[in-house]
Amino acid sequence: MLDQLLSHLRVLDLSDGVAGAHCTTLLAGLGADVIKVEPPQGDLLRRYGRFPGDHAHPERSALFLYENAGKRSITVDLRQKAGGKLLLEMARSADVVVESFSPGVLGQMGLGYQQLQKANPRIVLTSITWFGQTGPYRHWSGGPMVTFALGGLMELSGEPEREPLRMPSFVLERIVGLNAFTATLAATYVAATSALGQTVDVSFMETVASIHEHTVPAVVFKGEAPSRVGNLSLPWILVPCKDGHLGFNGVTGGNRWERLCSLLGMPELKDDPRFKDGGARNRNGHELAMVIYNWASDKEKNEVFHRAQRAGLPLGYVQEVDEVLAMEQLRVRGFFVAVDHPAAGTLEYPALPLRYSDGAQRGPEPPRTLRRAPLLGEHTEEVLASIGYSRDDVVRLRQIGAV
Amino acid sequence: MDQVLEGVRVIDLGIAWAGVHCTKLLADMGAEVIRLESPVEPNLRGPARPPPGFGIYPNNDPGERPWNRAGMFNERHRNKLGLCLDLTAEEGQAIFHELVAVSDVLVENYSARVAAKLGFGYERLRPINPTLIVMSMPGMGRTGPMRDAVSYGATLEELSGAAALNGYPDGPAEHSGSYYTDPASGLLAAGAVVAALQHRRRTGKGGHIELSQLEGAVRLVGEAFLNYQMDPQRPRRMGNRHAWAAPHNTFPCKPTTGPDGQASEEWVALEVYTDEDFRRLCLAIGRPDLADDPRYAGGLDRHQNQGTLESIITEWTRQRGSLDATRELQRAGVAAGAVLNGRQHLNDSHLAARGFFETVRHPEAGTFPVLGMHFKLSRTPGSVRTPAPTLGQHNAWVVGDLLGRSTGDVADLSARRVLATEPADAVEQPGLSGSPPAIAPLG
Repeated sequence: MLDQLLSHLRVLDLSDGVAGAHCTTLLAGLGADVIKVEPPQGDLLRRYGRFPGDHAHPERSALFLYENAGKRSITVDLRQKAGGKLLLEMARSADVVVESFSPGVLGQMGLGYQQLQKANPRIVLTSITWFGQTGPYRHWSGGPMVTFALGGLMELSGEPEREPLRMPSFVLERIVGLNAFTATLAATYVAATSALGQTVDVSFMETVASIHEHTVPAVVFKGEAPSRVGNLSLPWILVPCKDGHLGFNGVTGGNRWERLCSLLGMPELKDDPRFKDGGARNRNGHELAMVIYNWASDKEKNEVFHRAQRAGLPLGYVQEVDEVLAMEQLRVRGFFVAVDHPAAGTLEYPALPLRYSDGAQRGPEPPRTLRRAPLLGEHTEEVLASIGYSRDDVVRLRQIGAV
Repeated sequence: MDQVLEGVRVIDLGIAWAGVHCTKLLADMGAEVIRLESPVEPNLRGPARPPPGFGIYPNNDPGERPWNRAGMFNERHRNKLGLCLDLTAEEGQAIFHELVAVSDVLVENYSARVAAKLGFGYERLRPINPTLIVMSMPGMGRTGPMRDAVSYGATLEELSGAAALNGYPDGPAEHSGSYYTDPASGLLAAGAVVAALQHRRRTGKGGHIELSQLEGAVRLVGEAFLNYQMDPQRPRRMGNRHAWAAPHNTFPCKPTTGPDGQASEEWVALEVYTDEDFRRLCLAIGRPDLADDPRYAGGLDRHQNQGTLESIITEWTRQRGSLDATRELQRAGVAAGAVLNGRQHLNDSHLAARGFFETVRHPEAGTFPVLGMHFKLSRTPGSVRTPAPTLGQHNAWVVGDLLGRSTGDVADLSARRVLATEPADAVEQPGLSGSPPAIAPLG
């Protein structure tokens, strides 16, 4: 059901890097036909790993496998005339092109929006860059940490006594991918009724700026620029406990305060002058954080979490990778899906975090599914055949390295 | 067609951040978003009598109607209409159902149990309007043993494995400070809603989309779970260093003195991946000799010796402010970026040139900048058209013009506080309450 939502869309994914891949794997998960257009030497993420046994292999890279679930793959050298021509022919029957070249590069290859639009007036061109297609930084060298810093959000990340902290894993790349996902669907929604496509400009720096609401109101209205507050600042407190870390999130306000005091087994805290009302608790926030810090040090995370949640207190606790994989809440919902792959074998993948029903279905929900990542150029022949290329054409193109 | 979602009506029942970020995007794309608020404790508008220092108000002045001047609320809810309706009253439910009948989308992020209790479970709504698209985005998902757990963005960072991956090499798991799982969930939800709208246009069918925010958060660090299956080791936190690229870190710059006379530290982030990147860096910092130094010849060498490299770079960065350092390095083709503080962010020349921040005029909170669009579409760009609504600002329009009740009806409903323009704690009698409820600011 979920994978029928976008079964009317075809996407050509020229991008490299996590952001574009994450965008289009999501589109694929909702049923779009996503054709990944890889350079002949293969997508960058095939070289990233991790690899089984730490032996690099282009078909066994964990990052590639995860970010390319559900796509087809063809190899094209876009810089060759024959390769570019092929792309324009494919664009005739596609709805979307996703790319992440530096601004102007696609145009220099003769494959920019003007050319794509001539091939197909309804085409949507989604371009993902560090700084966007316009503006004084557009030709600057970028990266996920650099754009996190320039987008103003890194200032809020980390401990106050230390250097600011970047985002972990590929979180920012993926949020940019989600931005491109939504933007692309917006543009294709309009293209369906107007019969006209458009360009979509998604950038790391503006994605950061868009998810960053904490600062502007404070600067504008209070004249204060917020900075990083670390783990021990109300109302989001993360403290070590006996077997990990407990999050006391949003527990010190309103009618939760009394219940927190009960949880801590410190009813006298309620009337402590340092903490008697919200204003006092904010003023003495560090002291209150230390009370919680000291209390938690010998407690067990699971026990405290369940006791707190039963009392309506939104505590959390830090889970390590293996604990997430074993988490009942995720397992019961079928969130980890076993997918087999001819080169990488069977691995469990996080599924899409979405489920869809139109209310007509009865009975239990069907298990979630995920289609595997493609082998390099696995679908070259099939895709070329579908747009009228003969076997001889393909041989010829392979000989000159265009595919 | 000027706007992507022109003609699409959305009922916004979102709370805290995730749900309302979804509807923020839909509103920015031109949908008619009706924010449905409770008269008892309207979410994120703050208390009727805020204690000193609480919240964000223009010039630190809550004014006579603080609930219409709350800074974060007015950022988040621009482009929306405001309906303040008591859903616990029978007539409130009746109005709600009439609104559902003429709407296209409903967004909520309560737990399944609470959503059903408040009368907007999908099974209840579908018979009223089979073409309605309902986006339910509870923290834990609608099912499972933890489905009733209350969670914030910080909780999801913790439970998803993201927090364990975040922090300094010698330190514990860290909260992000940005609580990014909330806007990430909102972004994904908005896209999923548009996907469902596309599907509906082709099939005529509405449907129920469920987004588990916890699952979304796990997806944001998804490769870690495949990595673990290949090599069952818990990853170590790296701070600002990189798994294989070096130098890759933040570097302290010359502190600056702000307008208030306070010294503030400045940092510049630097990312060097290739030999060519490294060569450019060496030239930029006046150390061409390093480019030919065998200790830093290849990526592996640089990574092994990054401590020494970092010291050398720090000597250079400490002598200039972060903006100067950024410009010099960028001129040399090096990926560098100052860690901008709030004022620098608001005044950034690149965002200004792109028109990112937009200005809005609010009837009770003045004229101020707000964040602009997440993305730029060339033909149907969104924009900030209207300010966030005052509480119940569009009660008469929704119930009268849209749903056809008479002026007398609307007045009667207002008198009985089924419709309201003031929160409950503003109308309780003076002298009866103690100090006003202190509500923890929600992320």
